[in-house]
Amino acid sequence: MTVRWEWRTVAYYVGLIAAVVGALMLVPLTVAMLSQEWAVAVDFVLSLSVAVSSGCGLMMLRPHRLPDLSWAEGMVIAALSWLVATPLAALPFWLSGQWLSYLDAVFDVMSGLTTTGFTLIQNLDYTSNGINMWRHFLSWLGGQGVIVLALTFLVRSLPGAVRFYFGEAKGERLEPNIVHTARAIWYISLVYLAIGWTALTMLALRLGLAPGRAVLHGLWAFMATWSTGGFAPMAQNLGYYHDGAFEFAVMLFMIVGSLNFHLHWAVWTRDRREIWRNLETVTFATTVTVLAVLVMWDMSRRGLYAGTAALLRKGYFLLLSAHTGTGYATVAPDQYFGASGPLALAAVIAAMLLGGSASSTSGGIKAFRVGLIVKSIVWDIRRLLAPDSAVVIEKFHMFRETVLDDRLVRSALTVVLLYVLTWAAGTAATAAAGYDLAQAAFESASVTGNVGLSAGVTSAAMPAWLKVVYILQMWLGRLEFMSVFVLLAYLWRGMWGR
Amino acid sequence: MRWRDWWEDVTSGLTELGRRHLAGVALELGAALLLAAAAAGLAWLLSGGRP
Repeated sequence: MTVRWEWRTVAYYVGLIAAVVGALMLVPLTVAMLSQEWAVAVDFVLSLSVAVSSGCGLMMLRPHRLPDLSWAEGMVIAALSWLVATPLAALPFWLSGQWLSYLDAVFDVMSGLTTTGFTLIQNLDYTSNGINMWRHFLSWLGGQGVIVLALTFLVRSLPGAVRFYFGEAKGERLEPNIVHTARAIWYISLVYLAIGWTALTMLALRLGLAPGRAVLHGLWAFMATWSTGGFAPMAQNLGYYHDGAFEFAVMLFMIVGSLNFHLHWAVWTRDRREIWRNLETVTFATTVTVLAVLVMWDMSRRGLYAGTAALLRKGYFLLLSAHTGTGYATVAPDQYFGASGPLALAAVIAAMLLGGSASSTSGGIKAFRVGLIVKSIVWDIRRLLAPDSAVVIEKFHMFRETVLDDRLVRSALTVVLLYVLTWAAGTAATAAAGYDLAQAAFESASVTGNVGLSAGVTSAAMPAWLKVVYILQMWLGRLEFMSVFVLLAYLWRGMWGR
Repeated sequence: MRWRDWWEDVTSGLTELGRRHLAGVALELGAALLLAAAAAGLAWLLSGGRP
């Protein structure tokens, strides 16, 4: 009896999110209509109808009175929402005929929503504005979080809302009220959208793109940069623009996009010094700089890129794109993967796994956890050097002074271990599909860290089962495991009653 | 709400945005610029001073 009651509550909220996905298709539908792409518009109308009606169908299962959500239910809703939203959002892609199968379309939606950036689309250069808008919009929405979206627009005083907010691995709240937190996240993103869209549109105009195209390319490039997603409207990725100023602007927005939303809010509203003192920003700046030196040194000594500008635009850009989880590239995969030495590749793989900040649009292990682990090593050394009777306290600053304890370190190490295991499993699966080990390790790191840089594995021609493995890896990496484990336990209990 | 109240709301909102939040944006972009400048310096050193 208890299981049935929980199931109806979960179904209601998941249905709500499915209906939201349908409503969001109004945005690409509008772009398609303004661009006079009538066939694409019909695809969106059909998909929208399916998403809204299935969402409303699920919502009708709501119990008479919505109960307060438990932590487990919150996490199950977060994990399940992604699984329901993904096939619905894939409908317009599938109907467009630019994806060879429905699985390929689902792959691209999961790639967009998890801000990974891999794509299996065919003829990208000839893609309609409506479909391109949906691709980039999905990536942008995914950066904010599907749950954040639902909290912002639909839920005003949801009991237990905080529980499914945390289920999406968004971390700490910006404001005491969870709905205000969701709105603050949107406010930050919208302010940056206005700034970034304007800047990139101006740069695209300067490059000679027609005004309408410049506006759309500016919008899409910003959406994919801010969300650290890495989708691009052209097959050459960012190399299409071939412009140092455009790449430099993207670099700045990649860095800012990978910062913690909590940090943005603290800097904007409370304490400007937080940006210099925060453990996460200090760790991120350190790892980016150290890994960038390795990549640029390796490329330089091999004579791959000789001058300062080339090292910055190719080497540093690649590293930054990997570390922030964006996955943009200024050169083709066979240039960065095929021509780079083992040291540069190892550094890029490490960067992809490390990722950006917690509670940001980035994936990966996150700088906060890396910083905590480094602090714990320092703490251990200090404890070993101190007299037996001494009590050694290690502190760190992340929005406030906090005393490091074993519980925090253990939780960080658990996530790191799960990331490494997922990466290893993905590497083994890719190698089992016939790709060489270096390619497999690179691609798996890119999938697990939600990056999108490819070593040439991801394509429509890869085995279907490997696409499914990558879809699961992207999902696990984005939700940081716990929500998915709780969902599996919930399903197990539903099936076996234990 | 009269149009004057509405206009005051809009202008005070924009003032707040400009005074506090855009200063935060400028600081964040400045920090990103600093990180990129450090990388440019390192790239210059590693390339032996070649442009």
